[in-house]
Amino acid sequence: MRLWELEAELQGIRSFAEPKIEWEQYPTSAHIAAHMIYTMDSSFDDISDNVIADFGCGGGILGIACDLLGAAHVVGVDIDSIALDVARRNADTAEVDIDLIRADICGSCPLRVNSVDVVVMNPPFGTRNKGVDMGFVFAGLRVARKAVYSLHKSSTRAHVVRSAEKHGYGATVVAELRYDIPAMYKFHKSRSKDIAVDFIRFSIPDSG
Amino acid sequence: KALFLRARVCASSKAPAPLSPRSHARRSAVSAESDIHRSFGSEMRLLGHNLLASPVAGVQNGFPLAINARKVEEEEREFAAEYIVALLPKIHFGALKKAVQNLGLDANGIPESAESVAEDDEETLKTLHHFLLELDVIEGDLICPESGKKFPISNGVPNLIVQEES
Repeated sequence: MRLWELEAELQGIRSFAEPKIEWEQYPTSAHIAAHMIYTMDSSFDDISDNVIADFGCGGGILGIACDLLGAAHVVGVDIDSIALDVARRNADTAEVDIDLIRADICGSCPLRVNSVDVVVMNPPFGTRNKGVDMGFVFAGLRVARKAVYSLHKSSTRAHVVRSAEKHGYGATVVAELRYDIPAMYKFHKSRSKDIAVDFIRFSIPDSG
Repeated sequence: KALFLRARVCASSKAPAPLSPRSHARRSAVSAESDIHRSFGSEMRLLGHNLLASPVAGVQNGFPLAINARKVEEEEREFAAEYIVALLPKIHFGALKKAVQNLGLDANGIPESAESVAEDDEETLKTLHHFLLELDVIEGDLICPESGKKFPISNGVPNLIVQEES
């Protein structure tokens, strides 16, 4: 499947009807999701035949993209039952099977250590709940055998990379992108805001 | 609109990997005229259960979670031998055996390990296919083996958030 085909297939994915600010729920666009997953596959061979978890899956777009590109098994985890309902319907529309789990990833992640090959995520940025972005990453690094892929504000790059390396993990900025966040919450002043975001691959030592 | 800029690629780009047998299986299940009814979406299958461990703090032996199933549906899914072979090294067979027994089924056909399965042993591969992919737990509980704490499964989605006790 080509990148443009993947993006086209993801266009039908529906997002949060009523996003909740306390969980920093922002949708991931079909454009960004397609590029992330396509890159994970073509540059790193981390999709095809891999067992993949989507942390903070929301409507499930990242996990669904993984399944469309040939992941062996995909599981989506989110704390919000309404988001999981949306994810179930999206999986139906896209005609993919993904397992859905309701859990608190930062609090107590219910996946066992080294149970999946790869974790992918667009985590909360940590504006509301400080440290939750790295909380998600470290939860992923416990669970993954090979790598964790994540999005982080470019302004936090030094902190994110240093934090991972301090614990013995590799961290590579795979790409930079501009993330367009439309005015979703009442306190948002401008109509939409572009923020610079890094697509980062965290690697586990001795796994490549 | 968001732009994906300047991908700094580490490894040299390789030719795209061939479609895994799994996607072949799904695509043909969708397009072929067949009697196999497919409903997609989410149900808790034993392949997913194989990944789960108790989220209760301080528990040492929280895997596997016991399953107390109140509603299970069998959903036929197209068998692809290469797909099951690719999954073998990722499966915890001890946990699968226990899960099958929890569902009241005979687990004798389940191998001890990935290494003990020959790639052309279609009978074993089909047994694994059936247990991993065709049993949907719709309603029930997952139970932490150490603390006894229960986590409900409703509509095929297990809720593994640890509730604070007041």
